Amino acid sequence: MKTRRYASLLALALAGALMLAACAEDEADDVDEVTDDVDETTDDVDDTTDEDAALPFEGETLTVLNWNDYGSDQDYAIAGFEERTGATVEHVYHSGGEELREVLRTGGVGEIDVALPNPTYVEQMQEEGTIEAVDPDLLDNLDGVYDDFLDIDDIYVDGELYGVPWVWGSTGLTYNTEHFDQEPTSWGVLWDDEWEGQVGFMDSPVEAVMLTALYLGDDPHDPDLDAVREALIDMRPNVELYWGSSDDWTRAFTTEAISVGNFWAGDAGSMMEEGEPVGYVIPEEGAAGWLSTWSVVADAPNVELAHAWIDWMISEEFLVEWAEDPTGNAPAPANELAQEQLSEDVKARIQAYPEQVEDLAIMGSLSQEEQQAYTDLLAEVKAGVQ
Amino acid sequence: MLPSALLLLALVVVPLFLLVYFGLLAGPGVDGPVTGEEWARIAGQPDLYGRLLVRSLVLGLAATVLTILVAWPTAWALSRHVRRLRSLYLALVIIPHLTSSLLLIYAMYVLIAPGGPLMAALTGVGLAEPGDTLLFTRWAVLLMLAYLFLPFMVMALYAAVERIDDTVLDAARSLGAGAWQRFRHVVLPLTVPGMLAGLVIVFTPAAGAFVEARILGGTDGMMFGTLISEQVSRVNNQPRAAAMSVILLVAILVLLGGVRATLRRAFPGALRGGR
Repeated sequence: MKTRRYASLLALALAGALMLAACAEDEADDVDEVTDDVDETTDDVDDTTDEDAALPFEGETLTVLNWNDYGSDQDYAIAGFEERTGATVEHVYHSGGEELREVLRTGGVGEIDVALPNPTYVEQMQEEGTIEAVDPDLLDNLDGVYDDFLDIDDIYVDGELYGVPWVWGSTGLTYNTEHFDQEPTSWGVLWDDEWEGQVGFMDSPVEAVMLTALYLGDDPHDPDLDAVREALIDMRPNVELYWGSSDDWTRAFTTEAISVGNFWAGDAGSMMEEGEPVGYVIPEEGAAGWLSTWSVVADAPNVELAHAWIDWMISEEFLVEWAEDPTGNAPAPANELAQEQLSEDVKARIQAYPEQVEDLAIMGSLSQEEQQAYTDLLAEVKAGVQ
Repeated sequence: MLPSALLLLALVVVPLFLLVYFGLLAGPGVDGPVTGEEWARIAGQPDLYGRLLVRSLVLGLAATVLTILVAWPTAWALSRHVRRLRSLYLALVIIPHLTSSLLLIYAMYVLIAPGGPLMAALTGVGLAEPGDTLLFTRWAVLLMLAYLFLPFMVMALYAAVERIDDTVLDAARSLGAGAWQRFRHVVLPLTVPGMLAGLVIVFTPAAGAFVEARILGGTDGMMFGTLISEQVSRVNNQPRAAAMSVILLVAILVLLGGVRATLRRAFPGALRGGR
């Protein structure tokens, strides 16, 4: 009798644990599912008009590989392209750079026309033969793209362009405007005793190393790691929180647990729009930044159409419409002509300021050894190793 | 017999063997040669790995002790005082823990934030200054882990308390044992097996936890488990993660063995059948 009761209790506890596990898995599934979805847009081409002759790609289909809900699958992105070309747009989704490469390696090549790999991956993907060079002559809107972005080595292989800059963002000095009398201008505030226990510092090895190298006046792409480690250990008494997600930062910031730190431009802009006392600045030493770039997939079913798509994506017309969409989650456009057309409110919300562009150190590709060294370095700092 | 043995082989023996084997490879990934270099790296940096291992084990043990302190009276009350509504109370203990553990972590965040309910109460009784907070300290992590695994300890101890025969207590009373003596010499020893069962199911996950610490622990939020997780998610260094997992596993086993031996000495006869 008693054994049975004991057993049923254990069963209850087990059932509880299983339910927990099941819940957790459900969440994971929900996220995963979207990656497999192929979003088929209806091809309701308006056939009452006789513009058919003017549409160069009538009846053709373009397949795009991108993150879910990252601009290219907005209704106006697809409708605008279909109106111009007559082609139909389909999306295949991925949930990260590694998965993007995997999709292309395992059947994506030959099926997919364009993809949005991070510039970090461009060289590896060119070697793998999953992307091919872009013909700049087919991209009229390339003229508007910031020269600073077109000067980045990572988007070229053997002098040929493989990644077309689309949108960008930065990780700048973010601070509580109610706690600062004037705008800070240097990363030095993160090391200033005045802010002891009030710094929120991003838990990201690359960002931590690049920021510290910039502060020390070192090369952010190839710094002296011992000096970086020492500086980060020096900063530790000021740090209240090594934050891991935008949520972590926002929660700590709004409860005034932290006053200053490094944070993403787009997320800082969203907080400003919500009326939080947030200031965002690229300090005089510069800041780490990122860039999203479009690439033509190797053996694309329709290379010309792929170029037409990229040209549309980097066009002023689309980038402005996306930036102005309050629910579009648009980062700052890499096309300067698009940036110029934005209202001051929109510029603030998405932090689209051209003067920031030249001060950016765009995160480049890291070797396995560098990734390991950076990760171990930050782990030591976080663990409090002296 | 055979199918269950196969199941054991496939789900326990093979994975454990693989864990040890992966730990000996050269990273990244798990297709490098056997070199054992990750073990050398770990051994070469005791101030990082040793420090975090000790931190995780101490925190896990402290969380376990805290759950015993809370769960023991709870289990006793469930068993002896709420017979009619027992299933309801048992359900109430478990139900909050059927949600995602992330939700529980954020609930704790609100509870211990500056000006939150817990801090307000502590300030009210003079134990904390206004504006003080447990948030982003090791105490927050300890509290969270204890809260997270409390139901397991309640269940383990409830089962043990439930098995205590009332006639044993009557016999002790008739022999002149007072309330404290009955508790110290009869009831407590009889719940030691329950405590040990609870120890295994609370201490093991608590010592390997890292998500709770990362969100609530601030600069004290780095655990041994954090390091394991980062080696996989950030640099794909499965061999180092596997080697560290083996270290954690062995450390936990040694500690569990030590606690068991200590309890056996403290409560002779309480652990019959064990060696």
